[in-house]
Amino acid sequence: MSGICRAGARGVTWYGTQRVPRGGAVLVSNHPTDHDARLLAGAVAGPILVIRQLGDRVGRSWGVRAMDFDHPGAQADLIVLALKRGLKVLTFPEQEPGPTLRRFHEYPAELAERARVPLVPVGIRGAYAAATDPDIRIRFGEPIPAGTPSTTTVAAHAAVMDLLAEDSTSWWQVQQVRARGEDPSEAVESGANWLRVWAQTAAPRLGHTPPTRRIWR
Amino acid sequence: MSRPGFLLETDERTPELLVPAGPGVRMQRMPRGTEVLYPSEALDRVPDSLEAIDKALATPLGSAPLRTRLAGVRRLALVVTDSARPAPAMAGSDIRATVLERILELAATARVDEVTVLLANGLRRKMSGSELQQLTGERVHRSFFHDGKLFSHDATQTRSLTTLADGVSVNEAVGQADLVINLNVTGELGHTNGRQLTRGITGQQTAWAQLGLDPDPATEDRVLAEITSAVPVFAVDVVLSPGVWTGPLRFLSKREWEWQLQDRAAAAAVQRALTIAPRQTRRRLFAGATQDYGVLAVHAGGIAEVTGRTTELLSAQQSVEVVGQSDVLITGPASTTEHNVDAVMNPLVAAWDCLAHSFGSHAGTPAVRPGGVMICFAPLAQAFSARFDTAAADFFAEVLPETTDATVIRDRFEARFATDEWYRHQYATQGAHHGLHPLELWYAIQPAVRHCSDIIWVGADRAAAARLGFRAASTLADALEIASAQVGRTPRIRLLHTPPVRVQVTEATA
Repeated sequence: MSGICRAGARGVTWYGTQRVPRGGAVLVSNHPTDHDARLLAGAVAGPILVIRQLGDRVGRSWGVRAMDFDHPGAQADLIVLALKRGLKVLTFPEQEPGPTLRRFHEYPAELAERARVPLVPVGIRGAYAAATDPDIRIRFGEPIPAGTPSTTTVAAHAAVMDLLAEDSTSWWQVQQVRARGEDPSEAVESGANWLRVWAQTAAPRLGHTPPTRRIWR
Repeated sequence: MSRPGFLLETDERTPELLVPAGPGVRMQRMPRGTEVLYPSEALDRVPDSLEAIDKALATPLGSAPLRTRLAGVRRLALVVTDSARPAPAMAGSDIRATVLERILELAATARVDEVTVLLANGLRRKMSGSELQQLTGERVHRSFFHDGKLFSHDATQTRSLTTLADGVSVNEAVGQADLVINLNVTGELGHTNGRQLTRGITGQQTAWAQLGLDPDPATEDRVLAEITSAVPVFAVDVVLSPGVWTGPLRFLSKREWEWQLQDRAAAAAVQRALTIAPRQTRRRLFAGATQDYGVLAVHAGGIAEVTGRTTELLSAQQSVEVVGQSDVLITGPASTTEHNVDAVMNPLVAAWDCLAHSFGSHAGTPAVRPGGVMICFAPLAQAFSARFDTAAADFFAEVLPETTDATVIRDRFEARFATDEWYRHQYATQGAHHGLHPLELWYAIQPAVRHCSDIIWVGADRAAAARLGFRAASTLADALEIASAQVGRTPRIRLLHTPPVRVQVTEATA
């Protein structure tokens, strides 16, 4: 397949891998499950360093080093050096897995600013309830140039939100919604967990026509 | 720094040279004194194609920025070059997907309600769904295809055509648009932004008025004038560098004396494979091959301004100066042309590529003298795609045995191919070329047929060559022997070293 749409492991499809720049970059992804690092393995060429927040179980079985995003210490210098040398770093700024998109920690953006490399937003959809017949779609967005961490973090969060919305509707719909100044987030207002899972695992609609109203959201 | 094209005169030390013989290549030793025309290497690519696209859309030539032009637009039509160009296809993601996304982002910001993306295939076959996705990208395909807003043009559907003037009809998506953005991907002179509109999205009658036998040269300008006066058009040209073969075929893009050990090994392996493999396997060796194209420039704005700038750049890229015309011109078809994308090369396409495309790559004076001889390397296998070449197979089997005279063909057979309901059905629903497509190819080779005293095909099927009205020879030496009746025993011989680029002969005065 071309770089536009590539097949990963069974049931996993990557979109937009051609947008990942050559050289160093910090990949920031939403974090629906403990297996997200494995889902992204092989999506980009070259070695990739995965870092996880203390308490986050992602990649633990591989020996992925945990660090405290609030107090990174000397490890940060090594990671910045690796980025400057062209390595890619995969992070999960939500810090722990969950079915909906939550607030991002600013640490990945700080790394990107120190190393002067871009942030690449990644949206994973369909992983939360993947069981016997997974249909997981992973989308890579346009790189975000390094800047002040707070601004870049907000931009990365919005980009990941757009990627998730793009997967559940269409890219053109997301563009139109953003142009109207609206929020394309698919986050469910209700706090009920089963509704969040329902929204996360809904099949994407083809085309860009709005869906008809149904009883079940 | 790219190296310019040049002319090499062979001597006794010159090794065998690559000669295209689509599908495939041959290594051929040329007679001493043969002039070999090597194309220029690619000019420098833009360092960042995204930046080039954004800059072109923001500061166009002879037009307001696209963002301004989109203000107040409710219906937008995006016309896009189809998969016929470039041929072979691009490696990796297609540049059209990137440009379309950029344009659509601006359209979304301008709150454009209705967008239609139309492929300008003209009388060529329509594209399949997977081809559309490869071309436009997953984002655009998924956003528009299932709602019927991304599709190939149909020149025969009168109810989806809008008549602008007498003899000028266009696809209704274009005719009813508030703004048309014409995205033209080009790497060759002649594939202009305006021509994509006049032939790619017009009705059958309008397109044929420009493609028929000896058309009036003013017709194209008239059609373009009618289109641009009826709907505003914003032109975008993406100018590509000559393609570079990738993978095991990359030796084809290098000059023979610069081959490394692995290139020589690859050349030997390919030659061996082409010799012993059956025809289907030979075709597959080149069928899925792609090339790496760089973006030389992105021009946007008014059609005339954009075309002028693109023509200037492509002339600088392709022109190779030579002195005088030769007595014999040697060439061969490329493995994939715009008329056999993802299909076997039939004899008509092979003839078109040599006698229309290569022969016609000049700036006013052909590379071979009037009364000279063309020698072409091609097998001319009598193979036609069952899906795409419905009309071409019938043309070859039924029309050419009766006559090869283009005027007689026009008078006796053209109406049948233009109106036959089966050909129309195949074109409209089954992805076949239009019924008039084989006649388009046949008419296009007539200037070469009239210009040359003989056309000889080396290594060709004798029956196929005879059907086309040409002669066949087993070897180059035999072909030159046959040609000696016309050009003598010591002719001036010129080889177009074409793969993968066409050479533009600019100066050929005695």
